[in-house]
Amino acid sequence: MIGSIISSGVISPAWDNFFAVILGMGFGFALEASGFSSSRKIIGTFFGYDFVVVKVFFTAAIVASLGLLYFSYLGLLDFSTLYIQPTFLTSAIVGGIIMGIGFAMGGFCPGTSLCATAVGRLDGLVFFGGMFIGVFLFSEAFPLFESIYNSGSEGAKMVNTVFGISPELFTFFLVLAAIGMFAGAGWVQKRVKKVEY
Amino acid sequence: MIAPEHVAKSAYYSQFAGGDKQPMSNWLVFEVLGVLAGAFLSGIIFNRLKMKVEHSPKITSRRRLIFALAGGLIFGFGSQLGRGCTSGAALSGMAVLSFGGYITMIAIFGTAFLAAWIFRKNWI
Repeated sequence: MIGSIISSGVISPAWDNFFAVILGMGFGFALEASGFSSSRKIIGTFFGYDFVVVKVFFTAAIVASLGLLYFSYLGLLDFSTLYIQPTFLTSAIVGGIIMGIGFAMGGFCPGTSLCATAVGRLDGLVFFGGMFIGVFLFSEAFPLFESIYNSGSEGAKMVNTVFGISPELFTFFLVLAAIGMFAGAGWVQKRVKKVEY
Repeated sequence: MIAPEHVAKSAYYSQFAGGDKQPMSNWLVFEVLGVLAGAFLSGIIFNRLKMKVEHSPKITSRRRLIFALAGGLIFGFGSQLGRGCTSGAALSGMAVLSFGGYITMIAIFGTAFLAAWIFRKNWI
């Protein structure tokens, strides 16, 4: 598993699957409790009648970033042992665009479709089934996409280095941006026609 | 495993299975089970357990399910190309300040804003 407690040897890797279940439960509970089992609530972000996705998503991002930086500052965590998703610029952009289209059509992302399935939403279950077909098609057609998949490699690049600032300063600006976004979302939502769902 | 020879030959599958690797003992499988259990628990607590197809009153259940299937298929495909989805690439990436995570997030949400307008009759 990807994790600094486990990779530092404090806990044996034999516990991986146990923690995967526990962390998954926390994630699933938080998503469902936020209302992410409803596709029409999720999609509200794109029409301006419900911004809960933006609010939860950015709150999670800033809490996690701030938490990691504070733990690192307090010496509880070695930032260098964290797994930083490597950047493959081309596949991130092309994959992201494809995912965005699927998002707007299906109304879910993978995690939220699971939550919808868990509470009995059949559209969530069908989306989840569709994902298996999509993953299967990609895997079978991999040689065709291998060059896109591997191009634009920039390694474990951190976003703050793009702007030439420290991780702390970047996170500070991120928090400001999130606050601005929450205020903007509230302003828009008040002016958009309510949608019942 | 259904087709071990195919898995061994495939450049993509062999990252996850074949040889000593057991696909079903991947930690992600356990995490998915946890997500289902956690969401089910929340559904009980907030009284949201109900079998139904959620859709706009302007469209039929059938149309909703067709778009859900197509959307899932496209999302699944994109998530493999993009090395992770909204959670695994975008959110987890943003948490550790990964440049790729931010790019994925912008690409997903930016495209979805535009595409939602195209598919607006399904939603509003």
